[in-house]
Amino acid sequence: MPQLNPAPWFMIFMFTWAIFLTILPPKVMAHTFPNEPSPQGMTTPKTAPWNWPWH
Amino acid sequence: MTLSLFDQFSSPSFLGIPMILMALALPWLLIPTPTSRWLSNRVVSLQGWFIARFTNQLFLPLNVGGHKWAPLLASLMMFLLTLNMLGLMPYIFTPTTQLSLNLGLAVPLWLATVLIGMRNQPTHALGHFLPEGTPTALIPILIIMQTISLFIRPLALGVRLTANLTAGHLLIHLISSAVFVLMPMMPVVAILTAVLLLLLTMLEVAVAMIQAYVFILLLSLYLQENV
Repeated sequence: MPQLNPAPWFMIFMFTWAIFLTILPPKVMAHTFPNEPSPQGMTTPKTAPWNWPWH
Repeated sequence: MTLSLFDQFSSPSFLGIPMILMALALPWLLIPTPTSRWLSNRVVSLQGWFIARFTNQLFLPLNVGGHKWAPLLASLMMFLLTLNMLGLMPYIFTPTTQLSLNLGLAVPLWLATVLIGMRNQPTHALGHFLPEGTPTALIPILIIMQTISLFIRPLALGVRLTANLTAGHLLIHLISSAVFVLMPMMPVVAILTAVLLLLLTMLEVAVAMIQAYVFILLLSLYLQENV
């Protein structure tokens, strides 16, 4: 059964790992996953209003 | 028949170039590299969604120390998945049916998990050799069995992938040749066999995905014991 023949096993081993380590990780790592937008808070923010007292 | 059943698995060579190199080097054209633009195309979105969900699910049970394996295992999933799925296309050589390739992937990754365990937490890693609450009389035999099971893991990992893909390809080959042979003699039976072939092909698509997943899942379980 030829699929069990380890004939050029070192060449296959080195080439597989070379492809696997050089081509795939940059492609996988290039994906960016932006965060889900968080909903607006229920409480109204406490602000210190500053008006123009000299007008 | 001049070709035997297993000749579909022999690594072909064309113009002096082993075709396994082509079969390993070229499929990545199907996986586009995403850009930093906000809008990407459908393939990139789908692959990004898959990678994110898969990595999330895979690394949920692992300690934070093991999370740095995420790029490696996600890449390995894409690697095996692409090769397995492309191998189901007619006339495309499947590198993952080769035992040497699968063992070449399985042994170093398994060894890495074991070495990490022995280096960082030897007590915890060695503790897996003896389950808690074992009767004293069983302790020696259980440790021997656990040691054997540890060392047989990479072999099982590689042989599992090889055997599943080989069996699937052989079944597809056998049933499709049966359809061809039966067609002039018994058309009805041939059509029924063709329906069976269709169902089997769907099963093989599932097997191609499941076996890629099982490979990664077992590696993550080995990692879980050692981080």
